[in-house]
Amino acid sequence: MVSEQLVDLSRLQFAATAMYHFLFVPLTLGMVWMLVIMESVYVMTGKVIYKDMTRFWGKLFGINFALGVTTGITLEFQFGTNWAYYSHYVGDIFGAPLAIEGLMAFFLESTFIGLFFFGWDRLSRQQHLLVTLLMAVGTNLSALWILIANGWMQNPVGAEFSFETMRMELTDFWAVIFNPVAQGKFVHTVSAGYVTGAMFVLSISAFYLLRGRDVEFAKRSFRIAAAFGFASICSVIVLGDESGYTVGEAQQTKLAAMEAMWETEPAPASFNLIAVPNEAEMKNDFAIHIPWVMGLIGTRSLDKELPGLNAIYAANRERVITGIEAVRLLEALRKAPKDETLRTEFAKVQADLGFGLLLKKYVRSMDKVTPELIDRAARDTLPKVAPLFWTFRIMVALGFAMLALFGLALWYSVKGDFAERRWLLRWALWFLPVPWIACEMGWFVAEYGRQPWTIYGVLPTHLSVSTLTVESLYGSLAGFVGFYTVLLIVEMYLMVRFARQGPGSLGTGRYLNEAHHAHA
Amino acid sequence: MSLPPPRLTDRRLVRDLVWVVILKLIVITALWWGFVREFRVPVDHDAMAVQLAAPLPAKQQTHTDGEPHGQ
Repeated sequence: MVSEQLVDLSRLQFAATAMYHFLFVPLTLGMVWMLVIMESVYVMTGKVIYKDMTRFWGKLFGINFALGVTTGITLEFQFGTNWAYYSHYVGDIFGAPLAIEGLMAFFLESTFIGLFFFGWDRLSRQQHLLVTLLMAVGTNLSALWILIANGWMQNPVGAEFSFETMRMELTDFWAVIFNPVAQGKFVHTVSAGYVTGAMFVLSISAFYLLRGRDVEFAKRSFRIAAAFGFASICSVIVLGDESGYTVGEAQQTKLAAMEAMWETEPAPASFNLIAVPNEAEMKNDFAIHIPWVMGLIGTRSLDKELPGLNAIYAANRERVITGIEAVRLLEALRKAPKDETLRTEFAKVQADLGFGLLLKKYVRSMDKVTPELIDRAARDTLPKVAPLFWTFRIMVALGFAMLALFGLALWYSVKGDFAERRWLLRWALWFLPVPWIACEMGWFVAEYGRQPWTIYGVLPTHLSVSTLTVESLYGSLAGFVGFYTVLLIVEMYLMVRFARQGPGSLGTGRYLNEAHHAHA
Repeated sequence: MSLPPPRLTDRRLVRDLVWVVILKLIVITALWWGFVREFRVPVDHDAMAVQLAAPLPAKQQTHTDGEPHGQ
């Protein structure tokens, strides 16, 4: 049995390390393709400024990679240390993509990153470009496997529970790989990374232009970032819509909570632009509706209903009742595993086993379940609405603000007069942290919205956690937060230092700050 | 103006980054050593069965049913 404090601390530790880790990841995902584009132009045109761009932005990419590497490893270790029951329950499915990701990251990605930095004088132009391209592919493939694993937690397909081994077992590998939720998350997440990389280059280039230094270098970097960023933010929005649609198919509770949709409306449902959710009374105290929009986004049809949270609560209450029977049959099967009647009966209610397990938060034995406890377990299936509603809206608003910025940056790049528009350059500079904020908001929606499950509809979070002590968790949590904060400060220091030096830090003699650099 | 030898700053940066990675590995190992190592949780199908299904013997049930459990 585990305490709520232990569960909350374990969740907090994973969330803190994951959110720190994802400060580094999106920049790596996006910058690497910026490097491919810059180096491709160098190889095609032979203009050395593009080589300098690749090397300078590559240096900032390298700092980010070195600071970020190993922050993800702690997440993988936490599955074993903090989530041992989870790891046993789903290791058969979850372990494979994580192992493949480890191989991708350590062998493909790291090998080509080494060749990228140390191969400039040892490889031909074309060979080095190929290395950069493979580095980009390796980086993105790493993300693919992680998101396949995460997608399975959101939509557990291609697996079934075995009462003999007490774990989920893989039945269809390809269903796990081509899980629509995983694919939707992958393209949405990597596109968000591309936006982050583009914003990083756009902002720092705008800084150089505002200072009137390294103008040619900054102008070319700005143009590439504007074009790549505009394409990427369009992808994020379109693929975000696709991701939202798959959530509507696989996780209706999360969708309804994100939209503060308490009641089931006649199709097509309206969209709550702004709402003040009242969790206690399960309604909105205030809301501004836009007719039809939610139904069209969530179902892509005019006649399909989207269930509201009250209807979902009622349906889940029935599933909890069926789940009680599933838990009882599981306990009986553990004692008489060869009993065919029990097996047949269990197979009929197995799908609701997870809902019965929700009651284990309150009682050990199903014989002590009361109607009030069933109500509480059913209520537990609904995540808190207000945090999801507002973080989702902040993410979307920031996305559209970035669309406007990249759109204008591209427009004035095509016209050729962006460097004179200081308001645009200032806007680009101040928007530097925005993609990171949007990314963190997106992950919050995805993960907080999955609660109370680690595996959606299958394994409750409170049964997944290891039986560590609360004291050890406080200690390791403080250690991680302190250590990762130091890493973040070091990253910021190095980034600011090298960004301020600019391309002069390459020591080519072609840029500003070379004299300063000589004495550095 | 005499230019610095190329890669001088790069070399220093690489050295700094190598130190950062080494320090990271040391700190992460220290965190594991200090807070996790002694709390290894051996989980097999029997332990999982206890966690999910089988009720504890009556003498081990110390909590009040109806409330979230304490350890």
